[in-house]
Amino acid sequence: MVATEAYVALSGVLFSIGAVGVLTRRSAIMIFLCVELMLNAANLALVAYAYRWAGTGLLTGISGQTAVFIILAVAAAEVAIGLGILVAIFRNRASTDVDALSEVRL
Amino acid sequence: MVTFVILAVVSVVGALGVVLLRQPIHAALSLVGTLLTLAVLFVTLQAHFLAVIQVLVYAGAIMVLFLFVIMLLNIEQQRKEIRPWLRWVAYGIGLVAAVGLIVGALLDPRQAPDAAVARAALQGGNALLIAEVLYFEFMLAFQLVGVLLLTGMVGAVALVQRRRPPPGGVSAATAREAVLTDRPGRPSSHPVEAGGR
Amino acid sequence: MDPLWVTLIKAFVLCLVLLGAFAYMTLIERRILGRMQHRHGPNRTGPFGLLQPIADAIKSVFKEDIIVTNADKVVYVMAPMISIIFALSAFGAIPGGPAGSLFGFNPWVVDLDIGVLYVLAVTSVGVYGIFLGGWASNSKYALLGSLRSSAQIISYELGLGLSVLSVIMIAGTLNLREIVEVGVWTVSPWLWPPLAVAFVAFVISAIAEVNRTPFDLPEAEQEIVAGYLTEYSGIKWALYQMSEYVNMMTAAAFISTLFLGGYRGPYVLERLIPGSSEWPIIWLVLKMAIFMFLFIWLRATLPRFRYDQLMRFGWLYLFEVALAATLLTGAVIAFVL
Repeated sequence: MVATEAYVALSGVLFSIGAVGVLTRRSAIMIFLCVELMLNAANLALVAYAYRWAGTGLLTGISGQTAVFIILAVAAAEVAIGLGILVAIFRNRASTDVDALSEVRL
Repeated sequence: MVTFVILAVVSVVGALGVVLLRQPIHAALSLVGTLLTLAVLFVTLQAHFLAVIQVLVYAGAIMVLFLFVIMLLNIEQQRKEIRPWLRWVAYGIGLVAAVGLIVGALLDPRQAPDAAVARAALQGGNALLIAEVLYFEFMLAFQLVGVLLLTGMVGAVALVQRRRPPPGGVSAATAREAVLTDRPGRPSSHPVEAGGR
Repeated sequence: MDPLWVTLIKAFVLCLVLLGAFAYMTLIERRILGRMQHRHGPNRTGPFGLLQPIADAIKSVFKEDIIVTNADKVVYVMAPMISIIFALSAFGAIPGGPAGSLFGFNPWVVDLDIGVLYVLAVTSVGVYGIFLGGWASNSKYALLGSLRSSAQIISYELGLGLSVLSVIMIAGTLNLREIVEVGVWTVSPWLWPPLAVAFVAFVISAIAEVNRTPFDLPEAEQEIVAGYLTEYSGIKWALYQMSEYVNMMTAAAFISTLFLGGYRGPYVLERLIPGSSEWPIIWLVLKMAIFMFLFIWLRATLPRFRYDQLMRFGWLYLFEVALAATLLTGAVIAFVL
């Protein structure tokens, strides 16, 4: 059996890759994809810890999984809004480059 | 152990694909691959219900929506990239974060749980157990998520709704939309179009 | 639990059976459509046209396999495979009979505690096949087909999921075999109205999910040539056809299992011949046949929706009706039972 730490480490690697993506991508939709990747990395860590603490009482183990369930629902709402904003931006500018959206700067 | 290594490698390759692939559709597909691998990892962690929900919600709905928007808006391959030195700074930050998180995870001195105990406690991430926690322990969070989803739905509709064209004429926005959505599939790798622009 | 090799053999046999059934479903469909339209249908190849599927298979295999020059090659080749793989893997969770009834074996490939969600999840991933195929072809009509299919499937998944909820609430389990054993109609007559509404909503959404007439907009030939199929030929085209028919069969089996007692035989017959309800496979196949006939019948009868009608119907009627059925079921369970 693989130690829980290995799962958490994998989750850390995925999270860092996602973070690099957020930093290096310019298109808003690609940044959005990378944020999804980071969210999923966090989910993996939660499920891994749910497994780790499963033996120590019913609620501790399952509540980790329940938290992931709630994160999934929040992610769905976030994607609906985010993609709505993207479509609205694209209608006005025919581009999703985040660096071009600089009208509001001081 | 072997399963974990294979899945870990596949998921990391998929994640790298999200960050490095130029074509947005390919990057999104790469993310779908990572999500499906994560679902299998959930199964190895006794979270069967979550694994199926992950496939149903993430791969089946959220990513389809992403791909739909990418195709509809016809988002192009990026031509401009961020400055090279900035890119290397970002890679550096990523590397430091990854190493830090790995070390942090491994320093945590805990034994691997007894598989039998975990299986007995989680019962494969039984939907009934999750429901008990969700509707008692997490009741407030659950209701807030409900409100959030409703807000999200109203917000998304409000954001993308177009004003009705004035009677007797097509508005500028509608005409633009018609032009935008009329373009064919993937302009990026199409030699004629790429050269024409 | 079966040992792994038994599961593998059962999975392999199931795939063969589904593909064989696909071949003959195409023939049956063409014959029935012919009858309904006062013509003969294919009847020249072998007796009653029985060799027609084999002739079709030979033709598709030997036809030149065209890959469009400007296509995204990898995705173009992958898309039909995704389609057929997910179509075939969805069926495995559907039980074909009571435990151990098939010569001592269990007549299902896997018995999942979350069987309902598994079938929904796998079929919803199957849409990637259509979606990517249309995009990778790099053609206007194909892209329009794939945009249509993704919007349609996301919209009708809501109706599908909501109408399943009534059954899940009544049965109190996500396991398909246990749902059959509970027998949702036998719980209480109070539940009949919401169940009937949910059943109708579910059948309609399922037809939309498998892209059959009147919901076949992704491949509407009068408008967008053949939609996502436009640039496909030969064996890849055949793979798409296979997945469409396998999806139809899965939908038929899923409807029967959730709403019509799945593998169990009719009550009257059980009275006449005790034990007939325990026969494996046969009852499920008969119930599936009814729905397959319904799908073909609808194809011969109904014209296709317009796109805005499709969206309006899905979001303004089907969704609300399914929601009402769910609420009603909940109310009955909470206040009456």
